[in-house]
Amino acid sequence: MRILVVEDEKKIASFIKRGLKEQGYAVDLAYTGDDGLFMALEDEYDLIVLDIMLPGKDGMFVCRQIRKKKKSVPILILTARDAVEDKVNGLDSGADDYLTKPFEFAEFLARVRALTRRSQGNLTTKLKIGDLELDQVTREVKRGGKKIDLTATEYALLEYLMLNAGHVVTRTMISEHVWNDSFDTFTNVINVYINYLRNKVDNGFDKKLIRSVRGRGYMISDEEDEK
Amino acid sequence: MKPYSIRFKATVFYSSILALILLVFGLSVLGYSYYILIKGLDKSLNVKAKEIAAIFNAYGKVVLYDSHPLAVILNVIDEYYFDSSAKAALNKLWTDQFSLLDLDKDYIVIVNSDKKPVLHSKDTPKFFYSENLSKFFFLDKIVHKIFYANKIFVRGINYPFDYNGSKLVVYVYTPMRAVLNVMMRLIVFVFVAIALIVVFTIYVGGIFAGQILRPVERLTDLAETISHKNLSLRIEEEAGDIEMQKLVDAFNDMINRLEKSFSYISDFSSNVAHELKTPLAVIKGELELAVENEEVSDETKNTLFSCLDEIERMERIINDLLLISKMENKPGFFHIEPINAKNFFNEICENANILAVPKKIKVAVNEIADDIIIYADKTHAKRLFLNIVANAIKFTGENGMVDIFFGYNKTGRLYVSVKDTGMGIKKDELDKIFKRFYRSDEARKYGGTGLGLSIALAVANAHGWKIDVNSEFGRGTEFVITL
Repeated sequence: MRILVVEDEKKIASFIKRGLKEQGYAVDLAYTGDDGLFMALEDEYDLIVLDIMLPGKDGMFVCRQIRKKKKSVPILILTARDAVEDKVNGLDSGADDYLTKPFEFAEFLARVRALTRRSQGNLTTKLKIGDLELDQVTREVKRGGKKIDLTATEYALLEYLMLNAGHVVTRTMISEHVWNDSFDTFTNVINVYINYLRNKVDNGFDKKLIRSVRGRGYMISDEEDEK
Repeated sequence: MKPYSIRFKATVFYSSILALILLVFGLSVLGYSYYILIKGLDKSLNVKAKEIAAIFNAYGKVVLYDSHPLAVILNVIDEYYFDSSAKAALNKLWTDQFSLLDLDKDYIVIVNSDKKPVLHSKDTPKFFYSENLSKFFFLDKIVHKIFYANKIFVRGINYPFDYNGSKLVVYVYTPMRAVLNVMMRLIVFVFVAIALIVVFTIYVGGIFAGQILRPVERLTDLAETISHKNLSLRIEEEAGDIEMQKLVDAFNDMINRLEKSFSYISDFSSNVAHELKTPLAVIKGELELAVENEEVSDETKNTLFSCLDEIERMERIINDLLLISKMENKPGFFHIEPINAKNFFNEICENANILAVPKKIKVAVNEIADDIIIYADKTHAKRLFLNIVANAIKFTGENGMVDIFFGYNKTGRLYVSVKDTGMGIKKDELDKIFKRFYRSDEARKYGGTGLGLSIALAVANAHGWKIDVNSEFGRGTEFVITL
């Protein structure tokens, strides 16, 4: 998996590169819009991470140019601006997703995973972790073949955890994706819902799938080893 | 001094000036008219006196018996010189002469050189030949004078003439009724005209002044409505007075400059926030990577986690500040739409219940009717109510109680009361809790950015809602949001 990161802020570019490498991605860096555009058009990438505020040609322009050349590579835009119109402009210029700085790295990784998964076309409607199964079409959840009844919120939470199986999901990510809102007090709400989920999913099973990751958030995984 | 409106002052001022000018003018006209009339009267008196003197010289010795008043003048003089035919002829002459002179209404008195009245016409009031009038008897010059007798004004002439070598004076008194009538009419006319003109100018002037000052009124109206939220308002340019246009231009320019400054400030804060976000992103990213690193010791990891917590707190503060700044300065930030109150508040109450679970707090909610529609920006209104509800739960101890009540106040407005059995707010802190970053010493222990209520207030203000707080320290607090 090869990712191009176009980001003029060298320090951000650096930790993105290191973080992605740790996850097993190959990463190329470009610090200006011109370099980024050149590299994006010359080489084949599975994903382009594009900052909007760039010296020379800006991110929007680069994005439009890439789309003009009919490159269907997924593009994730990074920006410090969070106004709705900025987001709309970014997406209108052909980007697939949008992330506001400062972002949580786990969130960033989740988006990268989602975009690369999408581009590879392996969109499965059934998610499976160990003996836990979730059908995105029928919204049915089973563990060990036994059906589990979940409320809409509990289902959305479990689905999000399973989409990011094996990876940490932070509370901020959960509140933004499941509740569509980022709000302080949701931290407590999330804790309560995680407890509901645990009661329904893990209660009575030896293997606990839903784990708390200290200081970070939650993770669903069937691997035994603790990180 | 009591302040008056410019319109009133201007109207009064130039109406008074106009009235004064008209008054002076009117009085001059009256005075001149009077002068002209009196002069005419004097002239006719002169002629009359002169004629009488001439007639007297010509017929002085003639004694007449007749009903004509002038005939009686001479009745003191010897009467036996004439025979009846001569008398008749003379009588006719007299009569003709006197009727030519139009002396019917006049009094005639003749005074000798000793200033003693010797003759007077019939019906002449005694006043005109009494002794007290001797001051007015001059043997050497013609004098005109006004008298007031028998309740009428009379103009008199003192006209000396020679009669057979001795000096006599003839007095002709003529009533001034005609002159005074004319004068009365003139006076009435002039004053009525002045009064009408003044009333008219006050009326028209008032309208005119109002017209001139209308831009000022519009300026005032606009100035009253203008705040940082609607700095795009301008006074419409209108063809009018140069000064007013200048004022309007100056005012519009001022708002322009204000708008620029405001947008500069708002740009500035968003730029600051933007510039802060990049280093935050670097620190956060690096910390997150470092935490993942397996070579890092647990002790160091704890430090890194606490750094991450603080970074996230800082991020929340920056985001909240940006949010408030946008709520207050960015037009069109709120998307107000009709939403079903029941669905909306059910969601809030559901969240309240969930938040209350860990502390075993009981949440009581009364029913809200199905068909109530409220107009609100859903996302931000949710933030407002969740903030109030979450605060109630946050500051209420275990096994406490939070009561959410929907009701209508006296004016028929829907209100939401959120009442807790928490620690309460001290009286002197009640008005400070909505201030940015203000947290009471007690509240500080619970964390948070200190911006929650500021945001709630900004949201309420944008919706035209009101937030009231009642609290008893140690007993509990009630927030009432009136929609």
